[in-house]
Formats: sequence, structure tokens, C-alpha cells
Amino acid sequence: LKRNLKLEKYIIDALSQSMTVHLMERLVRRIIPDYDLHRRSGFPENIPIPQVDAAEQVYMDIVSENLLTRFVEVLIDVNRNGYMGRPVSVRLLPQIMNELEEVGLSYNEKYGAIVEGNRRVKTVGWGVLREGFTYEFSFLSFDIVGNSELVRRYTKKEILKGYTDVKRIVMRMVNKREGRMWRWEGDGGLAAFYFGNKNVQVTLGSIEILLELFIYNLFECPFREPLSMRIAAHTGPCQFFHNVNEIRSATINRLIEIETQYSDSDSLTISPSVYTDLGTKLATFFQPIEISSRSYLYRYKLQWE
Amino acid sequence: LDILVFSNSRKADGYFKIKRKSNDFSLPQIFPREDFNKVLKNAEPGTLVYLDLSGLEMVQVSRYIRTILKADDLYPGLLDPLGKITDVAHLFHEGVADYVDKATLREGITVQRLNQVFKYLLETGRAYTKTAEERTREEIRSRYISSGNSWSDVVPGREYTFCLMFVELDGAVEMEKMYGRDTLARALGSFRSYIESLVGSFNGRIWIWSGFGGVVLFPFNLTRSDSLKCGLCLVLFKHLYDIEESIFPNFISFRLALSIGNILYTEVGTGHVISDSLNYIYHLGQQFAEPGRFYITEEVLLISHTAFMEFFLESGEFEGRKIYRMRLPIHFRNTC
Repeated sequence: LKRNLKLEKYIIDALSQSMTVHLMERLVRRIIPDYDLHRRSGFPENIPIPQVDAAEQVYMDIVSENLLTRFVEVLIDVNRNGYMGRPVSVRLLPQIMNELEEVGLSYNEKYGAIVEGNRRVKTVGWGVLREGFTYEFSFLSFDIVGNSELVRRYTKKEILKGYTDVKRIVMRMVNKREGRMWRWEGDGGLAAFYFGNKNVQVTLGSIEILLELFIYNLFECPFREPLSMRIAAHTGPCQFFHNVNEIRSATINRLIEIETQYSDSDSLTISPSVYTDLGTKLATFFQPIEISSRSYLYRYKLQWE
Repeated sequence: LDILVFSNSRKADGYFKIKRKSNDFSLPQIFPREDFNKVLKNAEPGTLVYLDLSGLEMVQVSRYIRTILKADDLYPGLLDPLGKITDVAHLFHEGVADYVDKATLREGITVQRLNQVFKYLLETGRAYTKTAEERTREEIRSRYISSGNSWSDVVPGREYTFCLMFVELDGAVEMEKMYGRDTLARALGSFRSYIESLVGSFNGRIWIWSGFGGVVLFPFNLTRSDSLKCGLCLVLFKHLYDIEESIFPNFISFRLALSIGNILYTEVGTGHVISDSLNYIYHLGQQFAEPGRFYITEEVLLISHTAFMEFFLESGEFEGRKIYRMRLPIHFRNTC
């Protein structure tokens, strides 16, 4: 975020006019666990810090740690749910939200997080992830089956149309569920999901891609045979970099392994860690596949009676 | 025969002396040559495609002829207002169905001339004859009144042909016993929103609704309607609705039925409309349809994309019409 004087003023005023210095410190500790306002501000322990000074110090610290949006999420949370059973009314919250919207960020009710709004180009880190930090993601990897054969059999124009259509289908599903495309390599790619119930989102998104592809093959596919896709999903920690080519992750490596070695055409294969999060309704869609002794993956494939 | 003319000449309008469409020929439709590929892609089988040779090299002419012949049952004809062609017979060896020289063009191409072309195609065994299915399709279309491509063409108080879709949740009685009134109302509201939003993306509108279901109308322009694709999507994506949006704790089940019929369109008092088409779709949905299934009349299948054929199975007759049932997708590991 670039420096925004209005936002700075609103947050400092909101803090100093809505809560005690002690509560400010407690709230910052939700995102910086060892936060010590006296140490940071230089005020001796035995001298109370004036509210405005404390608010200014808090603002400076969260900005320098690149945690401004996370802190606003905390303010929204305490404004709604109170703190330790006590109601807290955070003043100027609407103005703070307006300022964030001015820079293209908005609060997503579904995920309880501030993410890029619709107006701006979507970035790989949702506008909030921090360079070099490790987060828990759910990933989706997909690949068009028989790419080399298709390229040999069809004209460049036909290939371009078919693959662009597939990209459109995948992008629509990923964006609909607040995922981000991290890689697109012509005949396949990688998407990441971070917010909300991300394992359910990645699974539903993948099923929806398969169903949309089925409809596409019936009515629009430029090829004589249907386009097939292999999709795999896995979840786990991954160190984030804005340049996604720099990302090296065991989670992504495992995902690629599932996709290339164990997935089937026109199907979605998910790892046990994704499967366990699905809930009973969605889990019934999946068939276990034993890949080695006592080691399972789970697969969804659309079939017809 | 349909007649397409590709010409960049301003005089092209005068090339034909046909002012009225007949049983045998449609009125010529004139397009600039730049639209050749685009228009040709959608040409009906049995179309006579005339190309104005002005400004074209012979190599280009041969390429155009080949393109026309590559499509099934299209016949190339050449218009030569500048008298460029010297070896006319050669064109016929290449597969041309007609060649019109400068003098004939000046007089204008007549119906008699087109009859001669058709006779020539018949004699050479190339004339396109319609299949029984195509004849049935045309017959169906001739019985109906187009409601256009969108709702903006539909005026209340007039009679139109629509595709009518019946949709109703199964197990209404059990649901009323199982859920409290408020919970049921919320769950039914969510179901209606799902139907409304999905049919809306296919140009459909809920026309009648009462609690557990109702009737949706789709405009029908006598050529195509998205109603069957919409039905397919309702069945295919139902389980995602179940997981993501439905307030009902279990997987829901609903019946769908689709037919075509005429309706005196009204926007008020739809609950009091008396109509054979409306009666038919209600009867089909409530008396014939089995829980969780999607049924359509043969007419719907005939006016729809051929890709649907493999997903529908014959399922007997109902009130004098042949009925087809959709094969259901199997999403689950054990049951459907």
C-alpha cells in the first residue's frame, strides 16, 4: 500500500477515540504476538502512554511490518464480536473501508478478509500476502490431455481457439472462488486458493471446471474429439513470492506428482489432506484409489447412467 | 433452395428478378465477399451459392469454388458481369452448378433459370433432398408463432410459441412434515433463487411459481431455443447447488419436464391462465415424470442441437406425444 494520509488519520483517530492503550496493544498482538508498545515507543514502563501517541506508534509499526490490512481485519472483527465478551465500537470504520476501497481493496464477508476488489487487476498474492512468508494454500493443477497429438492434428488457429476457451473456463471458476492463477503454460497451469474453506473451494471449482468442459465439448469444441483435462488438488504450506517462478515448494511438487502420475483424463484427483476437509456431502463424490499399500488418493469422475 | 450471393458490386441487387419467396426458392440474400467464410459456415444444406467474379483472379475463383464444394450439399454458381471467363465448360468440370454471363445478368436471373439449375442438379444426382427428420422439423416450425430471440420481442396480450419448462421439488408432503414453516420457506426461497438465476442465464423466466415449483418460459424463434441446454445444466449442476447453496440438509430431488406450445402471454394473473400447452406441461411434470428425472417431448429434441440425442432415451408416449427421458449423470461413488 502506498502512503495514504487520509487512511493514516482515520486509523489513528479510530484507535485513539475508540479504545484504551492496553486494548490497542492486545489487538496488535493478534498479528504481532510479542508486540510491546512501551518498548517500541520508548516510553518507560511506569509512564502511561497518551492515547494519540500510542495510536500513532501502532499505526507506524503495522505499516512498517506490512500488516495494515490484517490489522483492519482485526478492527472489523472486534467491532462485530467485541473483545473478551465486551462490546467494542470502533469509530470511523466506514471511512477506513472507503479509503481501502479507493486503493482497490475490499472486505470479503465470505472469507472474513480484505482482498483485492473487482476494480483492479488481480495479483497472485491477493494484494495482501507478504513476500517470503509461508502460508497454507490449496492448489489446483490441470493439464490438457494429449496436447502434442492435438497440436499435430489441428491448425494453429483451431488450437488457439480451443486452448483459449479452456483458459476462459478455468479462469472463470478460479476467480469465482477467489483463487488466483499462478501459472499458465498453454496446455495446463496452477491455481492457488488461500481464503475461507479453501479445500472445499478448490474441490468445487475443479468439479465445476470438469462439468463446464463437458458442456463445452458438446456444443463449442473446435476439435473432432472432445477436449480432455486432468485435474489434481492438494493442500499444504508454501513460501510465497510475488514472482511465482521463484516459488519452490514440496506441496506443489507433490501436487504435480499426483497430477502427472496418478490422475486420469476427465477426472479430479485429490490428496487425503484435501479429502478430509470436504464434509460428508461432498466427500460422497469421491472414490478412493489405493496408490500403494495403505496409501490413498481420491477421485471424482463424471459418468452417465 | 436457399440462395446466397457474394458480391461487392452495387448492382448486385439487380442480378435477380425474383421478388417473392416460393415453395422452391428463398429470396436471394446478398453479402459482401468479405463475409464469405462467416456466412458459408451457417449455410443450410441445399444452398446455391453465387459468387460475383468481378475483381477476382482465376486462382481465387478456383479457391472459392473448392471451399463451397468442400461443405456438404452447397452448390457454387458464378456471376460474370465483366465476361472474364473464356472456358465456361471447364467450370462445370470443376463442379460449378451455374454460370451466368453478362447478357443474362443484364436481363436478371429468373425463377425459370433457378428451376433449370435445380433440374440439372437432380439429373447429375447432386440435388439435396431433405431427410425425414428435417421435414418434421420444418413441419413443427410451420405450426408455431415465433416469440423472437429475447423477451424484448414479447408483448403481453399476444399469442406466442414458447418452450415451457416444468420444475418441481420431489417429496413436498414429507418436507412440510419435516421442517418448520420458516425453515421450509427459507429453503424453498433458496431453491427458487437457484432456478431463477440458472434459467435467467439461458433467457428463461419463471412465469408461474407456487412454493415447490412452477413453470418457466423460454422464447422460441422457431429455429433454436436454449431451454434444453438449460435443463441439462440444471440436472448437471444440481449437486453443486446442494453443497454450496441449498438450505435443505439432504441432497434435493426435483422433476423437470420440457415441451413446446402456444401461450397467450400475460404478465399478470398467470395463475388463472387457461391453456392447453400449460395443462400439458403440468400433466407431464406431475403425472408422468418420475422423481429426480428430466423429460422432454420429441418436438423439443427435434428442434435442438443434435449433440443432445445421446443423452435422451425413448420413454413412451404421454397424451399423444412421444416422450424422451434424460440419462442422469452419476456423481457419487455408489449411487446416482
